[in-house]
Amino acid sequence: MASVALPVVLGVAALSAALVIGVALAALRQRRSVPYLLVTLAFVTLLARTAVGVAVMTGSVSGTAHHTLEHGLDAVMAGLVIAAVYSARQERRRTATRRADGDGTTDETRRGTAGRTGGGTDDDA
Amino acid sequence: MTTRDRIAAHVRAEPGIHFNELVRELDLAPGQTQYHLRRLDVTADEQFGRTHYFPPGYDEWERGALALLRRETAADVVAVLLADGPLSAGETADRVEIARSTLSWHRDRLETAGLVETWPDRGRALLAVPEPERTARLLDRADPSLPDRLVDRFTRLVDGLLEG
Repeated sequence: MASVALPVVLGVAALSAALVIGVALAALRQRRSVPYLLVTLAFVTLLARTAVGVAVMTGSVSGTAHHTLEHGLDAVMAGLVIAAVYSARQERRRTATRRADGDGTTDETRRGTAGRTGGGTDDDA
Repeated sequence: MTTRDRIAAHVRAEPGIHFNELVRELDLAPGQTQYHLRRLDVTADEQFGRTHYFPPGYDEWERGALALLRRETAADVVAVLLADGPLSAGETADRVEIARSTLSWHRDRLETAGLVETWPDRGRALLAVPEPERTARLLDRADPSLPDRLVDRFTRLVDGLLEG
């Protein structure tokens, strides 16, 4: 049973991860911002986990190395998400400064932009 | 119905459709679609990195507007401003239930296309639709495709999470 279940699970995981990465890449193409790049890379680690699973199944990666790799990928994913959140704040500050220097001469505009995060308005405008 | 007629009918039914959508929805080969499009009376318009196709009778402003209104979030922003505008950026984002960064991204494009304008009002910046009748008519005709909806909802989710 297990010998059939694993390839099926890996297949579904690979397809789902590819779909999510496809959507993330399309969003990254629109926004062209650092937070979106990091979020996309975080999803790529999902596909990498599936690749490790396939490597274990075919015998090219040992059981011990498998655990190290999978948990290492977990750490990379968490790091990328943290970096995405952090860089979103940096980008928000840059956007707020740009709006305030450019067209943002009103209080409302400053208030409106103060809450913005890394939507990539600088790169894509 | 010939392939060329099918393409012409689809462009008429979905003004502003982009090339990949046309290929996918009609289940045609890209080369074949390209060949027929060149020989049809349709206008090809490059908007934000994608080629959109329009039947005759749409002027430049309408073509730019339709290409944008085929994005779900942009259409939601315009619908809220049509119903309740003029509104400040903060009020607009709250009513559409999107993050400020999501609104900011769409607002830049909507302003460039002339669908939304910013007016100063007692120290505040208010957003409104300068051509409500024409815009409402176009809004009725624009229907986003499933992949476009997915990408739009993904960016709404990510912007919302990162803004939190």
